[in-house]
Amino acid sequence: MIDPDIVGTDLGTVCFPVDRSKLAELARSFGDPDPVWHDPQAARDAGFEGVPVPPTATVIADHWRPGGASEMIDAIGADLARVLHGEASWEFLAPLRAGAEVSATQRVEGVTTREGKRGGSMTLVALVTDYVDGDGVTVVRRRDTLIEKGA
Amino acid sequence: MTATTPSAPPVPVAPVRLTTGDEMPRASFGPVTRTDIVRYAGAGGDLNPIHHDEPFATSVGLPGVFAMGMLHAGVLGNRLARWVGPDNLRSFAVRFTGQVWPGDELSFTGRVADVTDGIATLDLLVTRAGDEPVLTATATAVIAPG
Repeated sequence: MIDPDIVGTDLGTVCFPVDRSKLAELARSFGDPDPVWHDPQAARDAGFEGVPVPPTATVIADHWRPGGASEMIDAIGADLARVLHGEASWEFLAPLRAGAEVSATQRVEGVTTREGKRGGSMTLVALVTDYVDGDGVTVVRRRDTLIEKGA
Repeated sequence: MTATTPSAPPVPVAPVRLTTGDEMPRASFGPVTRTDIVRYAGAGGDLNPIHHDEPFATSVGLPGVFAMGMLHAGVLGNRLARWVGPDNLRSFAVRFTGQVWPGDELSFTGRVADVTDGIATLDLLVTRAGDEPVLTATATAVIAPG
């Protein structure tokens, strides 16, 4: 059971490198063999200053926690086996490039409970994560909605 | 797994010219394999056992493992960035509406819904098995003046 009082809880800050070997793995997992996503020369040849980052890449930060993303699930008091990812969104505030060192600070923005379509209640947890680069610039703000289905 | 072809157009740097009704190049991915799911788990770091551990998945009442939403959200984000240019995206929002299972053929489509003051609003969709929506999305991007 997720306690509504967790609203405002700071879930901590993770510092992670936007590493091009990780970006190469991601591009491959998306079925895109274009080296522009990980090779500095290919990116330069395409006209980019630095290696560009695909829009969802910042989720990697979740897994830089020592306990992985399940550590965050524990921190909000949810049951991993009943949690679904309902929504995710990103605001892109400044370009992000491979080689950046980014700190991601996550907090609980809201908790709501509503009746599920098939009976039983479900709890929605809204999270916000701010990604700040080495110059102190917020480059990405991400929001997620996690859904914990009723037991 | 279906990869973009080597002859895919280059990823745009500058804003591209788009008008209302323009469509994203249609893309597909699949049939999704357990290897695809595990490859994303390794790349993205999502080791929730519900996505790779069949005995765990069946123990919680599922028919088996299913793909993490961030796999097809990521594929969509990649195709979207290839269309409008990664630096021109201002926002991307996805809503997961269904699960993706091994064997699924995924289709990725997108369309310009509106253009106002040099910003395009894009509606995007991922379907499985022909027409069953598994993800709906919207995005905004800076585009070149028409």
